[in-house]
Amino acid sequence: MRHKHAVWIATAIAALISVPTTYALLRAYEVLFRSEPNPATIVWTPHIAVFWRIGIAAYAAGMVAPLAYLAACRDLARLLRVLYPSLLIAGAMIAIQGVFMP
Amino acid sequence: MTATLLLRLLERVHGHLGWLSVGALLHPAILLRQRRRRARLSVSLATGLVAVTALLGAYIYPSYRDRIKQHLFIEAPKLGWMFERKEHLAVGAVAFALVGWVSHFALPLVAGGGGEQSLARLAHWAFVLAFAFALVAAVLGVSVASYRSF
Repeated sequence: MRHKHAVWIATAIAALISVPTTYALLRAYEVLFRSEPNPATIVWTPHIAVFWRIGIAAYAAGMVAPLAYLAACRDLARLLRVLYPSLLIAGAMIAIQGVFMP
Repeated sequence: MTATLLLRLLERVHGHLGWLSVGALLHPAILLRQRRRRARLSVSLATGLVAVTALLGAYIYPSYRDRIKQHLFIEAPKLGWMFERKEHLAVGAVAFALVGWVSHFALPLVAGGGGEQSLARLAHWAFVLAFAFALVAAVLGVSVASYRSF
C-alpha cells in the first residue's frame, strides 16, 4: 500500500462524506428548531439557503479533513473500514431529511 | 434570444442531462458489484455528467427563486415542497458520485492491503446511493417542470 497517498485519499473521502451529513443536519435543524416564513409569502430574498447550506457543509468538510488525516495516520485500515458505514449513515440521513424535512 | 428563452433552454438541457446522469450512474452501480472490476471511463463519465448537471442547476436556481418559486408555492404547494426535496436529494447524489469517483480511482493506490476491498465496496455503494438519489431527484424535477416552467 502506498501509505502516504492512501492517507490523503481516505482524508478526502471522509471530508466528502461529511458534506451531505452536515447538509442534512443543518436542514433538519432549520425545520425542527427554527420557524421559517411560508415560501408563498416571500417575493425575493438575497439569502439563498441551499447555497449557504452547501457552503457551510464544505466548510465543515474542511474541519473534518485534518481530523480524518490524523485518524488515517494512526490507523489507515481502520479509517477505511469506518468509511463504508459512514457512507450508509450519510445516505440515510440525507434521505430521511430530504423526504420528511424538506 | 431573450433571457426567458435562454432560461427555458437551460432548464430543458438541465432536465435532459439529469436523466442522462441517472442512466450513467446506473452503469457503475451495476459494474462495481464485482470488487475487482475497473470501470474508470464509466465512473468518470457518470460523475462528470452529475457535476455538469448540478452546476447548470445551480446556475439557473436563482432565476427559479425569482420567477417560479413563489407562484409554485401559491398554486401548488405540494409541488413546491417536492422541488425542495429534489434539491436536498440532488446534493446527496453529487456528493456520493464524487465519493464513488475518488474511491474508484484510488484503488490502485491502496492495492496490496485490506484497504482495497474496503474502497471497492465504498465505491460501489456510493454509486448505488448516487443513482437512487439522482433517480428520485429526476422524477421530482420532471413533476415540477411539467407543471410550471420559465
